[in-house]
Amino acid sequence: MLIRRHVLVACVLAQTACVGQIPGNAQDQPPAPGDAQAPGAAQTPAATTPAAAPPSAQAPAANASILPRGFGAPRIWKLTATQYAATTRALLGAAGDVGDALAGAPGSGTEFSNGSDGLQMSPPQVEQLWSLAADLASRAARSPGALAACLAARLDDRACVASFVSDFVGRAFRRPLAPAERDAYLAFWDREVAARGAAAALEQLLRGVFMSPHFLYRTELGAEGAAGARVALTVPERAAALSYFLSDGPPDAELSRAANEGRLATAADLEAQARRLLSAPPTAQGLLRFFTEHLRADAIKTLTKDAKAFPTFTPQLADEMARETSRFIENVLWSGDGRLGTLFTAQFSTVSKGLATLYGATAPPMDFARVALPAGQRTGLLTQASFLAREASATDSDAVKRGLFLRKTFLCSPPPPPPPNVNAVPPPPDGATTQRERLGRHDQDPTCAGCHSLIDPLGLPLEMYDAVGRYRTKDAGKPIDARGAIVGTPASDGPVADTVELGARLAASPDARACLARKLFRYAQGRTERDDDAGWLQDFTRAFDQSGGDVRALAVALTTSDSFTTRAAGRTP
Amino acid sequence: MNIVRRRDLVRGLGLGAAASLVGPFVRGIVREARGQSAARKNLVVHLTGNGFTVKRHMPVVRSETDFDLPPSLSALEPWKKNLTLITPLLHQVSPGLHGNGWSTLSCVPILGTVDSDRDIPRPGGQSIDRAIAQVVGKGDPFPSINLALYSKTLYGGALDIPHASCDGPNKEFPPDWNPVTAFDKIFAQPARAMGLSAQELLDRDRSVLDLVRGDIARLQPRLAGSERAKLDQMLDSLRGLEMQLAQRQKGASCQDNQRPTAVVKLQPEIIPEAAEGLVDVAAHAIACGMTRVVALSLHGHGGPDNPWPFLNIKNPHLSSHDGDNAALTRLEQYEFGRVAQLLQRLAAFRNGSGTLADQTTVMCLNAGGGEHHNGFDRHPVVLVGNAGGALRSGRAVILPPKAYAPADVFCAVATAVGAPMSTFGVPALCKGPLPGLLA
Repeated sequence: MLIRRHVLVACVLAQTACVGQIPGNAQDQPPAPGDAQAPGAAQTPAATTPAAAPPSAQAPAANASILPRGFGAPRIWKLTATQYAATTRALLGAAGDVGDALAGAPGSGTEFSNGSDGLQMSPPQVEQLWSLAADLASRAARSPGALAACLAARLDDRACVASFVSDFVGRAFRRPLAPAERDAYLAFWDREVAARGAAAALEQLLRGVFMSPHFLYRTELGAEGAAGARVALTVPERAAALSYFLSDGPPDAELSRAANEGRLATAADLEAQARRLLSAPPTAQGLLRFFTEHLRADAIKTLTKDAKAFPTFTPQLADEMARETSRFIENVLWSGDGRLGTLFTAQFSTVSKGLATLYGATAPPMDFARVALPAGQRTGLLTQASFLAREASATDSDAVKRGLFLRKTFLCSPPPPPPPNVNAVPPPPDGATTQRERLGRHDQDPTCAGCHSLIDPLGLPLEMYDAVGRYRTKDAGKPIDARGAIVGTPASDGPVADTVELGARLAASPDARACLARKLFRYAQGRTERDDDAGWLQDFTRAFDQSGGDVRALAVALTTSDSFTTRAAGRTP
Repeated sequence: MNIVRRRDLVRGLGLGAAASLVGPFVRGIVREARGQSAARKNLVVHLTGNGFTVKRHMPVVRSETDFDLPPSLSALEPWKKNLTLITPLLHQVSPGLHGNGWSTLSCVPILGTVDSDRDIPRPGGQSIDRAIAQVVGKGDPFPSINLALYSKTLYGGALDIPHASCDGPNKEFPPDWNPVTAFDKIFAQPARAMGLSAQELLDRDRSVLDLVRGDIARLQPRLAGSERAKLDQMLDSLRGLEMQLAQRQKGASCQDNQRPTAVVKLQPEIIPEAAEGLVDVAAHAIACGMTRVVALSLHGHGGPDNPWPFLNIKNPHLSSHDGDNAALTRLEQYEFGRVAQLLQRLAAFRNGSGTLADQTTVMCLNAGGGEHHNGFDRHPVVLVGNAGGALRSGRAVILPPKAYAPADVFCAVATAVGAPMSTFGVPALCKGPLPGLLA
């Protein structure tokens, strides 16, 4: 019994730590002077920040003034592999295509690929970047005119080179060059021309640019020499923060123009640019990447299934499963209402012909066109094969995996790991008992019941779908009992009759909205939230609530917040 | 077809005396091998996964020197007289669940937690291969190399990378999973391709490195704490890179036109090609004197649900949970077969009165275990080779339960290969070199 009590306590702690409530007594205390502040008090104007919005039903107004609102530390933030690729493409066009050269690059080791603290410059990573820089430079130097028109005629025209350095290197560094930097690059050019000639000098200079920390990292340091407890990001830093978050790439021409013309100084300026970038998928690739990573949709591509039991599960179908999820999100966000609730409840999807067959739907006129799904059988993300097939074994569904994923991903409420020396794998299918019957053992074992009472009821409604996501009504020859429940949440608990009802409950869940706000905050800021981010998270959740759960509105709220544009001087991450 | 041209890579290797007849690549290697000091000691740290059981791993022991290898190790039978099997060892810093993760080779607790959605495990300290490399590999082009077949490229998640080599807290030393790119990295000769001498190429590289270091120097004063440490790490890495570039000529002299030509897209179907390719790259790197420390892992320590179709294994991880010893024995026989392959390759190169295999010690251990993959207190370590006589081999060493840790074995092995070590990992959990292991 002692073990069970510990597990239950741990479960409760895990839940409360992840649903937008403040651990300990932070709610009862004012922010520490100099470390956190009330809304709207930052250096940067923030007239339209969500903090100023009226409180939602889920976030009582009384809390708004006392929850802390701190700031992250000044930092440098390494480009991810996809950001690097987008940046070199933007700079060099086709010559900047790096293909899959960075496919094996170390990730951030954190929940999202852009976790700032985990992105390293280890020796293998530097070797990889070194090779890539040489390759890019070699390709780009073959067409000097594509780098700067005047270079096409004469590589030894120093005025042209000076202009090229200011322009190209500035774009690579995402800011105007300081005079000392420009001089350093020009001096380098002169030395290289003297030693190796102009053609080699150009290639050498490009190698240096692509290996420079100013290219490989973006900065969030504010203006050089700025004093004060808080540091406002410079305009170029704001532009980069906005574009790498929303577009997963460097500022586009319009954003750069806005920055150059001083139209990124206020929250309203940022909001206008954020809305523009979020208005269409090509400039909102960062938001799409968030969902891909958040839902782990691409992981299905590398899984295999028992070929005898599931002969139609081919690598192509697995690839289509992943694409369905990203195309579905695109469809909801840019052809639909953009609401989180719709992601949970949609009775349609964007499928290939193969997936239409799997789902028992009418084949689309072309792959990934929107189709209606069989009534009563499907409900948004919860019943997409990229999730159902991934969170399953090679031969069978897996209610525990599925329940755990839902709990961690959509409710931010992961239970603690199993206690030591417990066989965490459920009994294998025996052909005679249903998964529900086999999981019934969890109820009888006190070391399992504490956490599995939170997991299994979320996964059991999904028993209506087999290991590849096909709808079914029987398991082991017996009718499936699809009842389940959401348990152990602050505001979403309740029984559900089946998956469709589970989708509806999640769609209405304030916990699910708070969870998505938390996850998108982590992605936008490249870090895990701290206690003194509680006020911001409340603001974002409220803005999200007030928009009716519009994901794009949440993204806008994140970018127009002072937490996005301000850093705390002297603070270390 | 994304198939590694491994046979190109290994052509001639393993042919013993006939090797010098088959091509300039092998002749180059033999020349290098002959040029090595016979006192040079190499170490390969070989990691298996998915836990271990007495049934699969315990030898039949009649006396310390009279024992039968368990079926998993059958491929090592030819090296039995140079083999030392040590068990059971207590891995007290095991983080639990699906493996020892970064603790396997570092013997310190990981940072972060296992199975969390927000706090991915990270290295807590330096791994033994890197610690040894820091001492014995100082003058080599590559102080150590890390080759691991399974990577996120195949499995998509950070947790699935073999968590092995690391340089300190938060500093992973990631593996190369692709034999082709690993080969290129170690043996590339861009100078020849560009029509330059190695010195001319080095001058060019250094000029760019100086420019980059200038940028770092201008940025660094604006940073503090961990942000400054990021640039410190970059500077360290650039220093290591410069050293490699300076030694490039050595690698160029070791290879000719035998570079594998196809890029590997890792799929379960080509695991054997890729695994055996990595082993060959390791053998070449040692033979050419490019490194003397290799970390080698051919599958992750847990988690992956991918099959090994050529061994008719659907899911090694679940096989471990299910206690499917027959499947895991097949897997381990294949993996230890790669150790045998490595030693065979090295045995093809004579050096003084012996071969490179005589100068090489392979330390095999399991990264699984944790707390529910069959216990964390019964770790076996298998040493193949005796570090030129510095280790007492040909023995099955059965220790009292929970008396010694892998770190104790690490200390002895490190000392034997030239990096004397009195403690490793958490000092309170390490008794120093395992008694009786050093000759």
